[in-house]
This record gives sequence, C-alpha cells and structure tokens, in this order.
Amino acid sequence: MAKRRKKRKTETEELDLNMTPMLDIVFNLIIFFMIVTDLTQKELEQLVLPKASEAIKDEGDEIKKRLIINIDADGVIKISRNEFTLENLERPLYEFAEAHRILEGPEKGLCDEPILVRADYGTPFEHVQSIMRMCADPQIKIWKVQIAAAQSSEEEEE
Amino acid sequence: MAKKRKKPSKTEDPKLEIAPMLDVTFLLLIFFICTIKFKTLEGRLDAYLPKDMGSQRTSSETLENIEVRLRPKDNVTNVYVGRTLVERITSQDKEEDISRSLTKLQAEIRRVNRALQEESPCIIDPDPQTPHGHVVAVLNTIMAEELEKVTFTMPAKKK
Repeated sequence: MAKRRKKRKTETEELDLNMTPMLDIVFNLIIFFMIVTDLTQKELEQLVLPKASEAIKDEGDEIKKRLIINIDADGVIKISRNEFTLENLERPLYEFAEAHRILEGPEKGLCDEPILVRADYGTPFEHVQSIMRMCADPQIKIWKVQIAAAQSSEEEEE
Repeated sequence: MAKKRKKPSKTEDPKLEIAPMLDVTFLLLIFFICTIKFKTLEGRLDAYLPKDMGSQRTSSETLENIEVRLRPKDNVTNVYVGRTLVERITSQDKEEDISRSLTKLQAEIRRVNRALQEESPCIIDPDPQTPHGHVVAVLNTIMAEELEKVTFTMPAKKK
C-alpha cells in the first residue's frame, strides 16, 4: 500500500475525464426525444376532449392503421396537421376506405378499419354528423367510427 | 509532401474541444425534454354505422324507440326524452364530467326502457349546433344504462 501511494503522488499525469460514454448517452437521449416528439405531435391536435366514464381505454399504439380526424372548437378539420374542409374531406376518406376494403365474404366492399373522430368539447355537433354521413356514403362505406373522449379521473385511477 | 509527413513528430497533441459541443448538446436535450408531450392515453366510444346503405332518410324500425333530443338555447342544452323535458345541461366547464350530473336523464331512460320492449333502440337527435361535449355526455349516460342499439339522426345532406 505504501508503495502505491508514493507512486501516485510522484506521477505527473493529468486527470482526464472520459467524455465519450456521456456523449453517447446524451446523443441517444436526443435522438429518442426527437423521434418521440415527432410521432406524438403529428396526428393528435391539442383539443379539450369531453369526459366520458363509459369510454374504453384507447390503446393508441395498437391500432396504427386507423385514420385520425381532429376537429377543433371552430370546426376546423385536420388530418396529420393538414387542414381539410367538408368539401375536400371525401377524398382522404375514400382513399383510406379503398386501402382497407374487405375483399371476400358477406362484408365484401366494407372498410375494415375504424376512423377516430377527435372533436373538441365545444365543436358544434354538425361537423361530427357530416363526417358520419360521409362515412356511411355507399362510395366510402366506413362503418366503424370511434369518438375520442377523455377518461374521467376515477377511471384513470382504476 | 515530405514536410507534411514530418508532422507526427511534433510534440503537440491535437485535442478536440468538446466543451462547446457539450453545451449545444445539453441545450438540445433540455429543449426536447421541455417541449415533449407524451401521447396521453385517451378513451373512446365506439359507434357503428349502417353497413349496407347510406344514412336513412326515414326510420323503418317498427319497434318503439327511446328518442332523446338535444336542443341548445343560450348556452343551455335542453334534453328531452320523447316530448318531456328531462334535463338542462348548463355546464360550460370543459374539465367537468357532465354525465355524472345527468341523474334525471339516466332515471328517465331506465324507466322508459323498462316500460318498452327489451332492446328497444335509442335514437339521439342532437341539434346541429349542440356542443359535442353535451352530446357525448348524453351518449355516455345512455351507454351507462347498457342500451346497445344507439343511433344518431342526421339532417338531410345539403346540396
């Protein structure tokens, strides 16, 4: 032990902090946050959803195929941050339905994937009605419509 | 070229200045941490539209229906079951779960449902100007009574 102490004191080497592992971690964290922020903010607009105790817990990541339609309090419709009007909304609905048609069986021709309507608390219901009407159109045939709602606090605790 | 090759013999060690890069990196990290909003888990209410046709203009149901009408007037939404005014939704508080306060509506729906045939369909007829939150609250109350056949009326398509 005495020998070691002597050696340490006499050595003139500078104490260098090895930055490489820390930099690796920091870069990894940055990449993680960049990816996550992009995914979360792309499809979900900042809305105040109405609360509903009977709402089913929505496992957002499980259903990746569905189309998410956001309607803000003023009735502005947005899909993946792109604005739409009721006049030009039929096109994305039709394209979505075409991509997910059932090809065989008694339900042939129907769209098998749901759409999620995220409407703000204060949105006049006519906008949601119009989207429902478009979905039921014989050319589009989307029959699964999900209405987004915030779960009330008691549900969350469960 | 010969001169260049001599460079390694110099005693100075080339050192990369890491401090500014670290500063920038940490700033980026803090920025992303502050701006991130994780995907909040939301709930959803499932609805199914008719499979074989567009929206119907007239009802072909022969069963008796439970008809719930929503008529907004001056920030208050009147809720009728049949022709009876049952509830007045006055709340404009977006954070409140309104459906919990709709006890009269829930009781009325339960009463009518018992009086009618089992599995009688419930038709929600909201005025186009009704706030979406009020419609969801009524829908939530109806679903709490475990009525399975719930449909919405739709105004005729504007041409």
